[in-house]
Amino acid sequence: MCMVEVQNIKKSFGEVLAVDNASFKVKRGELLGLLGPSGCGKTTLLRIISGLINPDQGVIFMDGKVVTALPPEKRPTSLVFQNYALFPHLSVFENIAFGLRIKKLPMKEIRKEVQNILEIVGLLGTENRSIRQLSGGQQQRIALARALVMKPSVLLLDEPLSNLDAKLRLETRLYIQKVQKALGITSIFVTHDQEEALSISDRIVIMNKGKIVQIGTPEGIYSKPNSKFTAYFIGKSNILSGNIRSDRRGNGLFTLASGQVLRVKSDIKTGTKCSLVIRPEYIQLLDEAKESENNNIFVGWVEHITYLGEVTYYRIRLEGNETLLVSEYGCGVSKKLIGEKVFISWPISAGLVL
Amino acid sequence: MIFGKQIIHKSKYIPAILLSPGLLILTLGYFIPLIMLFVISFYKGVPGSGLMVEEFTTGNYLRLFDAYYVEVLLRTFKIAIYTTILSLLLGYPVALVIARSSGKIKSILLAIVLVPLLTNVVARTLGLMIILGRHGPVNQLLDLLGVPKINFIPGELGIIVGLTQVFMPYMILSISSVLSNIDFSLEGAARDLGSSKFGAFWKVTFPLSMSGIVAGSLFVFLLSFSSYVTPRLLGGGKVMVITMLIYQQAMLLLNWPFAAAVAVILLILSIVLVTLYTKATTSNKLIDTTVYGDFQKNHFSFQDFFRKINDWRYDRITATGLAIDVLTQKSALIRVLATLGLYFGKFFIKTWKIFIVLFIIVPLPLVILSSFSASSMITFPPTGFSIKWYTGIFERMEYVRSFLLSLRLSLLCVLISVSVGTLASLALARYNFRGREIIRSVFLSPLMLPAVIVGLALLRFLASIRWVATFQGILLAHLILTTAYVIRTVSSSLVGFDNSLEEAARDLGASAFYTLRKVTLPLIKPGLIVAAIFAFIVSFDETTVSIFITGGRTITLPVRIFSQLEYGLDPTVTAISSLLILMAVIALFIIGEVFGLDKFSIK
Amino acid sequence: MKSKNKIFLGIFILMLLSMLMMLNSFAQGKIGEGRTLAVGIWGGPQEILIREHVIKPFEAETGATVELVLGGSSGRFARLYAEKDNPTMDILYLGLGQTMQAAKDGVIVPPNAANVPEYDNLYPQAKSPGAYGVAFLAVGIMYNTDEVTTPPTSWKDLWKPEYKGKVAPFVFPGTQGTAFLVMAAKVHGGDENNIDPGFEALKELKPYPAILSGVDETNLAFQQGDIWFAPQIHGYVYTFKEQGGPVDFAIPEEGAPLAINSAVIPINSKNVDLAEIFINYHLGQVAQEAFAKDMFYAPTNKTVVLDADLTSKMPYGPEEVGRLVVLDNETISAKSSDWAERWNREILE
Repeated sequence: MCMVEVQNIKKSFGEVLAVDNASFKVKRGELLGLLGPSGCGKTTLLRIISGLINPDQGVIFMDGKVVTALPPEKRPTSLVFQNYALFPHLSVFENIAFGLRIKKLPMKEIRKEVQNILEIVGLLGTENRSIRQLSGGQQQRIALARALVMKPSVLLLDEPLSNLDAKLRLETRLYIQKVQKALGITSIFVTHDQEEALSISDRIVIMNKGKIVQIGTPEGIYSKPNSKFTAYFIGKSNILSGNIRSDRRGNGLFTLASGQVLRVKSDIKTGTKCSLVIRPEYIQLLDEAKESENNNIFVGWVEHITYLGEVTYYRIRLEGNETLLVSEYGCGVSKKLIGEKVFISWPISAGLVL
Repeated sequence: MIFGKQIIHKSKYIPAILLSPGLLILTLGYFIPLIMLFVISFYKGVPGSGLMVEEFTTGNYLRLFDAYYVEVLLRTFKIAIYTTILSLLLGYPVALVIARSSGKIKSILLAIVLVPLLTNVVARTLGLMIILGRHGPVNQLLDLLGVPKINFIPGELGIIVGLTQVFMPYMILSISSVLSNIDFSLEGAARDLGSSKFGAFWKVTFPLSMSGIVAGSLFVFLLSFSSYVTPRLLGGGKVMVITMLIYQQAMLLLNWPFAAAVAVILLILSIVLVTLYTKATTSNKLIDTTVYGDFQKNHFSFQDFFRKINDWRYDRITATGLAIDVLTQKSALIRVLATLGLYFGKFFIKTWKIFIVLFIIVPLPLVILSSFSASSMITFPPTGFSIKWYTGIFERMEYVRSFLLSLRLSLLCVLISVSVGTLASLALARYNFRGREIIRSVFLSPLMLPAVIVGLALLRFLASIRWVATFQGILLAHLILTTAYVIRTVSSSLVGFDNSLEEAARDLGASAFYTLRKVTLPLIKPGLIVAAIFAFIVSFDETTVSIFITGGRTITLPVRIFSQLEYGLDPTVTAISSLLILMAVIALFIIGEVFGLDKFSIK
Repeated sequence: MKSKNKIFLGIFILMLLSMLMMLNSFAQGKIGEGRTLAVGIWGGPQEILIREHVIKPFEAETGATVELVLGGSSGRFARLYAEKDNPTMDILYLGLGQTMQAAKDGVIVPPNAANVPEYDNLYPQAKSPGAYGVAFLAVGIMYNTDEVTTPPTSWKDLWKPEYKGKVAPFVFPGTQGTAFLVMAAKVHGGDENNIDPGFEALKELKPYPAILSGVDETNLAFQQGDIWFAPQIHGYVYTFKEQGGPVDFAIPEEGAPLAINSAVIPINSKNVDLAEIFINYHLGQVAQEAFAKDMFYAPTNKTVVLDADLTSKMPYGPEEVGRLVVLDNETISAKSSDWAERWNREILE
C-alpha cells in the first residue's frame, strides 16, 4: 500500500491556479522527486502535503488516513526548509531537540536521540554551537537532522540543495539518498534541477504550470517523455516539428517544414502535426553518408562546438535550416571543425514522436 | 513571503481575536470620546461661555476654510517636516556609531540617548530656552567669534531646534536597532566589488536601514506635529501652531465646537497621511517574494502603485551609488578631492558626532546644575550652592505620592500595552485581511492627534461615566498612547521576521501558542524591550492629557511639576528632574545588565 | 448577689455604656467627618499658603479632608463646564472674566452671606463678579530697573520711540493680555466697544521681544534684559523684586485694571456646606494677611489689617481699591472670540 496519496488537489491564489488537479501516489520507502521549472506549483504542492497550506479541493491520504484537514503539527510529516529555518536563538542541540521537547520526551531520551541523529549526519560535537557559527552545508545537515529526529512517516524536502555550491551539491544529494535509504523513510523532495532529480529519485513527478505532466522512473521519463515539455525539460533533446504519415510498409514518415523526410517508428495517425524528439547521444557524426536500413542519415554543417572535457556538443545545421545537437563522449571524439560538412545518423527507433 | 501567511488555522477569526483587546481599549478611550467630539463639532458655541447650543450647524467647519487657518496648518506641517529632516541628518550618524559599537560603549551611548527621554519635557525645554536664549551660551559663543547672534527664540527656528532635541532620540533608537541587524560585512562585500566606501554605505547599508528610517521619521513627525509644550515655550507665544490654536479655542475661549471641528479635520488628515505613508514605505523589494511574485497578475492595485514608487526610489538610490562609484573611478581630480575631503570629513564627522551627542544631553547637566543653585530662579550660570531644593522634596509628601502614583500607573501601563500591542502587531503582520492598513493607522493615530484634543475628548467622556480623577481613567488615557507606541515598535521588528521559522516550529509539532512562546517572542525580544521602554516613558512623562483628567489624590508627577512651573519657577522642579535623571540612569543600567543593551537589535 | 439585682446591674451598665457612646458621637459629631472636599487652585506658593492658613483650620473644625487639584485656571474653567453634572471639585478658584461667565451661565452656586459670614465684609468689587472674591490684583506696568531710568507714569509711555522693541504684551486671552489690550485702546481713543485703536496701537509696538504667558519666562526675560516693559500683576512684580529681580511696579495715571481671584462652588457639588466653611476661612484675617505677606495679594475683605510697609505694595483700602479700573467684562467676554481671531492674525507673526 502506498504511504502518501494525493488526489485531485487544486489550489488557487487569487486568480492564479497554482496547482491544477494534481494526483499521484508515493510508495513506502520511496524517494520521490517533484520536478519542474520555477512557478510550476511544486513547492505549493509540497506545502499542501506538509499542511502549511490548505488546498481548495482534493484529498491527501497518509498511510491510509485522511489528513487533508490536519494542521502541520498533527501530520506525520517533517519538512526540511529551503532556507533551513533553523532557530537562530537556539543552539544546535536545542534546534534538534525542539520537536522532541514538544513530544514531552524525558530529557535523557532526548539527549540520546539528538546524539544519535548527529552521529548519523556526521556532526557530533556541535551540540552547543550557535547556528550562526555553522557553514551552509552544516546547517543543511542540522536541518535534516532536526526533521529526521522526529521519526516522521513522510520526509519532505524543499529544494534541499539549491543553497549549496556546486561541489557540495553533488556530495549532498548522494548523501541524502544514502540516509534516506538507510532509514527507509518515505520522502518527497522538490527541485528544479532535472539532473538532481534524475540522479537520486526512485520516481519523478514532473509538473508544469500547475499540472502534473508525467510520472515515472528516471529511465522511463528520460527515454519516453510523454510531451514536448518533458522532453525539453529532462536532459537535452532535439525537438523537430512536422507532419506524420504512414508509408506502405507501415513505417512512419515524418516530414519537416523544410520538406525533408525522416523515418520514424510511431503509431500516431496520419496527417497530424506533431514533434519528433531525438536525444543528442543517439546521433552519430559520420564522415561519409552510408545507406542504412535502420538509421536516418542526413547531411549537415557544424555550426558550433562546446567542449566540456568528457563530452563535446556539436550544433549541426541541416539543409532545411533546422539545428540538431549532437553529443560525443570521451574517447570517440571525431574532432570536427566549425563549418565542416558532416553526416549525422541516428537509429530510427531512437526517434520519439509526440 | 506570502506563503508564510497560509498557515492553516481552524478559525478565520484569529486576527479578530488578536486585535480585540487593543480595539477594546481604543473603543473605550478613543473612539467613543472622539465620536462625542464629532457630535460637538456640529453644535454652536456661545462666545466666552462653556455652554453650547445643541443645534446643528456646519459653521465651525466652514470657518476653517479661511486662509489663516490653512496657513497655521501649513506652518505646523513645515515645522514638523524640518524637525524630522534635522533629526534624521543628525541622528543617523549617531545611530551608526551606536550600531557599530559594542559592549560597554554601546550601552553608555544608548543610555545617553535614552536618559533625556525620561526627563520631564518641560524641564528639558526650559534648559533649551536658557541655552538658545539671546544671552545663552550659544549666542555668547557666536559673539566671541564675532558672528552676529542668531535669534533662535522666540521663533520658528528655536522651535525646530527644540523639537529636534526633544525627539531625536526616537529617531536614533529606531535606526540603530535596525542597523544593528545589518551585516556590515555586506558593505565589505560591496567594496570588494569595486564600490567606494561611501558608495558601499549608500548602496548597501542605507537602503537596508530604510525601515528604521521610516519608523523613526514617522515617530518624530507625528510627535512634532502634535507637540504643545515645546512650541509654546520656544515660540514665545508669537508663533501660532495648530496645537496652540486648539488650546486657545478650547481652553481659553471655551469654543469647544470649533475646537472639535479643528480636531476632526486633523484626525482625518492624520489617518490619511499615516495610511499613505505606511503603504508607500512597506517595501517589498527588500523582502523575498520569489515564488508568489510569479503568481501575481498585473492588475492595478494600490500595492502595485506603491511598489512602483518604492522600486523607483530604490533604483534612484542604486543609481546614485553607481554614479558615485563611476565618478570616483574616472577622474583623478575627484579622487584627490575625495581623499582630501575624506580626511577633513573624517575629522569633521568625528567632532560633529560629538556635538550631536552633546546636543542631546546638554540640557540635562544644565538642569542638574540648576538644582544646586542657591537662588530661587533658574539662571545660567547658577549662583551659589545649596541642596535645599532636594531636602524640600521630602517635606512635600505630595511629590512622593505623585511619584509613586506615576510609577504604579506606568508599570501597569507597560504590562498591559505590551501584551495587547504585541498581539495586535502579530495580527497586523501575519494576516492579510481587508482594511488592515486602515486599522493599523487607526491604532497609530492617537500619536498624531494633539494631546489637547485627546484630553478634552476624554474629559467629557470620562465625566459622563464618572471616571475623571480616577486611577482607571488615567490608565485608560495612557494606554491609548502607549499601545500605539508598542504597535509601531513591535511591528517594525516583525517586518524582517523570517516566517519560515514559525512554519518550522509548527511542522515540528508546536501549537500556535507554543510557537509564539518559544520562537516568535524570543526573537522579537529586543523589539519588545524597546517597546516596553517607550511605553514606560510615554506614560511616565505624559503631561497634557493627564492635566485634564487628573485630580485630587490622583495627580501624576508630571502634572504636579507642570502646575508648579505654571506658577513660579521653583527650582524644586530641577531637583526632581535631577532625581528622575538619576533614576533613569540606574534603570537603564539594570536593563542593560539583565537583557544586554548591547544586543539591541530589532529583527 | 441576688439574681434580680444582677439584672438591674446589667441594665445599668448597659445604659451607662450607651450614654458614653452617645456622648462620644456628640463629641465627634463634626459636620465633615469622613467627607472629602476637593479644591482646585493654582500650584506654587498659593498651594503652600492655602494649606497652612485655610486647610489646617478647616480640617480641624470640620473633620473633613481636603484634596487639592493643582493647575491653571483655564483647565479648571473648562472642567467646570465639562463636569457640570458630576463635578469632581467642590471649589474652583477662577479669574475675573471666568467667574462672571460662570455666574451668568448659572453653573455656580450664588454667594450665601448667611453661611459665609465674611461675605458681608467684602468690598463691592469683590462681590460683583458673582462669587467670593479672595484677592485683588492690579495690572500695572512692570519695568526693568536696570534699563529704564525714568519710571513710566502713563500707559502711553510704553509707545515712546526709545522703547521700541522692548515692550512685551501678554498672551490674549488672559488677565494681563486683555487688560493691556483694553488700556491700549482707552489711551488711544477707544474702549471695550471700540477696540480698533487698541489693536492698532499694539501693532505699533512690533517687533515684540516676546509674547509672555507665564511668570517664569517673564522674570527670566527681565533678568536677561530682553524686556523692559510688560503689563503684569502687581503681586508677581513685588515677589520677583523681593527675590532680587531688577524690576519695579508702576501704576499709570490712567489706572491699573482690576483683576480678581474668586472662589466658586459648582451647582451640583455635594459638599456645598463644607465649601462655604472653607471659603469663609479664606476670607478671614489670617488667610488674607498671609496671602498679602507672601504674594502681595491685596485682601478683598475690608476688615483685614495689614502692616504699613505691606500696604504700599498693593491696592489697600477703599480708596485705592476704588481707583482700580473696572473693565467692562461682559462686553469683553462676548467679544473674546472675535478679538482672539484678530489677535491671531494681526498680533502674532
